[in-house]
Amino acid sequence: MTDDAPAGYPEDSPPMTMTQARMLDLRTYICALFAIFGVTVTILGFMATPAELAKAAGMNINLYAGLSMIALSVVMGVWAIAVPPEVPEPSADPEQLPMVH
Amino acid sequence: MTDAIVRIVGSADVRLDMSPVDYTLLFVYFIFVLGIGIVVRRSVKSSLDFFLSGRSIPAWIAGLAFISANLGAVEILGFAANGAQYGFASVHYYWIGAIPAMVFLGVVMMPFYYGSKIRSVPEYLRRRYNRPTHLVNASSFAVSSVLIAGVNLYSLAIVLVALLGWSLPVAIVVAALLVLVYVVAGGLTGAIYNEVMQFFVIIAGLIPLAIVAVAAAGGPAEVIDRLQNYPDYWLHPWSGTEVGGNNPIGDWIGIILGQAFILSFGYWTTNFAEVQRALSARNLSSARRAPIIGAYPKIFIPFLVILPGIVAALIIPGLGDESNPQMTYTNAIPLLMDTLLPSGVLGVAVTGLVAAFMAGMAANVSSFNAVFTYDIWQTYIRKDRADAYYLKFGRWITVIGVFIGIGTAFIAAQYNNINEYLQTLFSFFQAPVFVTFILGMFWKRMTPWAGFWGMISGIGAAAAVWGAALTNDDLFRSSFQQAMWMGIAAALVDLVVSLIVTAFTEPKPIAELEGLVKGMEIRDAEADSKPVRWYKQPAFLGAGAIALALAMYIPFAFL
Repeated sequence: MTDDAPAGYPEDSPPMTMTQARMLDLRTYICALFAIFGVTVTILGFMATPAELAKAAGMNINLYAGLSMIALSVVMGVWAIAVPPEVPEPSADPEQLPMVH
Repeated sequence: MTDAIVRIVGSADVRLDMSPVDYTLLFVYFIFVLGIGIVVRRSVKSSLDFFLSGRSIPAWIAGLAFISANLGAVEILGFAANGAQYGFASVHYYWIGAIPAMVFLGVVMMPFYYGSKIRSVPEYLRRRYNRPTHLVNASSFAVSSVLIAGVNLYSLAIVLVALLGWSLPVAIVVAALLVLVYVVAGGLTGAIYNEVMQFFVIIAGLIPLAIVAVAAAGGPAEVIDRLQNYPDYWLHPWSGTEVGGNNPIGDWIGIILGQAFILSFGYWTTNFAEVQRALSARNLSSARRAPIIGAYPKIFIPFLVILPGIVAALIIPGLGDESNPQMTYTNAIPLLMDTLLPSGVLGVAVTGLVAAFMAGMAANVSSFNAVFTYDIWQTYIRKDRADAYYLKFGRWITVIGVFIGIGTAFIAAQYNNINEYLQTLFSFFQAPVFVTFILGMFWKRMTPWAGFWGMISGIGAAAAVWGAALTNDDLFRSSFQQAMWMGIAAALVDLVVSLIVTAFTEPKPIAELEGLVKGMEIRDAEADSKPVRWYKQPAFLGAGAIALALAMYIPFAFL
């Protein structure tokens, strides 16, 4: 990645790497949060007691909701991998332009 | 609103039956919220990064944040209450109110906002008109944002009190500190990222709730069948909207002209807490698409808030019983959650509510700090400092804003009606703005002082209608209808005064209007060289959203 840095870009602030870009990619967080939520709720769905089923009008809502959240997590994860975040070009902002040129 | 929330969750009897798993989901969410704030901190290097995310946000994130910033307590609990009281009658606020307004912002207004590189909505008024116009708008926005942030904080704290059994002061301070950390660290990006997370969590909580609620009432056919026993407007939103009719939302003139065209357009196109999200987008094309992308999910929100409210009226005996403070209409959704959701989905739904309240407050705070720093401090008090100064100042004013919010929350805890008074007061300021903006964008001749006097007299007209309604109870059939006619009066007076004052005052030199008015848009050379594909064109996407929103009315004709 550093090869892409324009000449004169200050060495003490290296350009963003792909790892850093992924850290700033919101899809990563949505994927992770809904993996945790989805798996937890799905497990509760598999352990549903008759009382819980009766409470939710006979539906195993934890199972359906949990699997849906896992699906959302997978969609976000696949999307984030298939279309990786753009690594911003350093110093798009005129105020931060490198000194040379 | 606020005082209703106090009653639900503040009373020990209605404490939701949360299991350790539900608490765990809530705390996992808190960790994500703080983590995101801290991680995005490294992307904040300039004031533009802090206040406008460095104009770098993809269209879909800006679009979801756009509707999420508004998807707070008032929307979720308030529209569920409307559903429980009036059935589907309040869908107009979405399908002919919000949706066309969001499309209008993207298609018509965003080129002026984004193209002229203004950093806030009040800044547009400063450049188009003059400093007095700007000061009225900027200061009323700053004051209202920080006070409403306090009221949102109070609602959030009340939920935490009920769930965790904390004392109110502890809950207020802890909730405020959570928001403070991620907004001070991450700036607008921190707020926007969390708003989008919140959007998905609240949806993940509300969809199961709506499905289970309808099933518990016996299924869709049974629900429709039972609604035949209610007034006609429950299932037919246009029923009773003739002048003198019985539809509680109002008459058709008020709904179309007042609510949709004046108030909704005014709110969605000039409220900086909304527009800021679109301005954060990475280019003009994304900024124009953002509100339109948000419009699509927004079309379906009524089925997640109004519909559960309606079902609550069917299956919760005694809902709306005024002698029982737990059974207020605003409690429809928490009562349904308590009655229907098993541990697991319950935790998701509660997390969604807490997240929505938190994001609501963060939206107020992140728009307040931008307007205060750019429009008040930099414009009138400390000009020409280095950018780093304003970034640092923005962080400090965020801290101060949150502390004022904490103070407001404690005041709200003492005086329950404060929210209502604040909303009324700020509605005066909001009522005429759309006319002032739209005249400014499309009429070059409109003079700076016409902008100022038009806006001031519009505010006065709204206040006058409000005063008239105070002395005559029979003037309006509901507070909804009153608000619509306040908007109509404000807009008409603003229009007439603007025309008159323009006739007698000097227009702005044409050179100063570059980028601000129709026919003088600043073209984005880079965007022009890369034509946007047809299905990404704002006009195409926008027409689709409006058509879909209007089509939503059709099935009701057959019920």
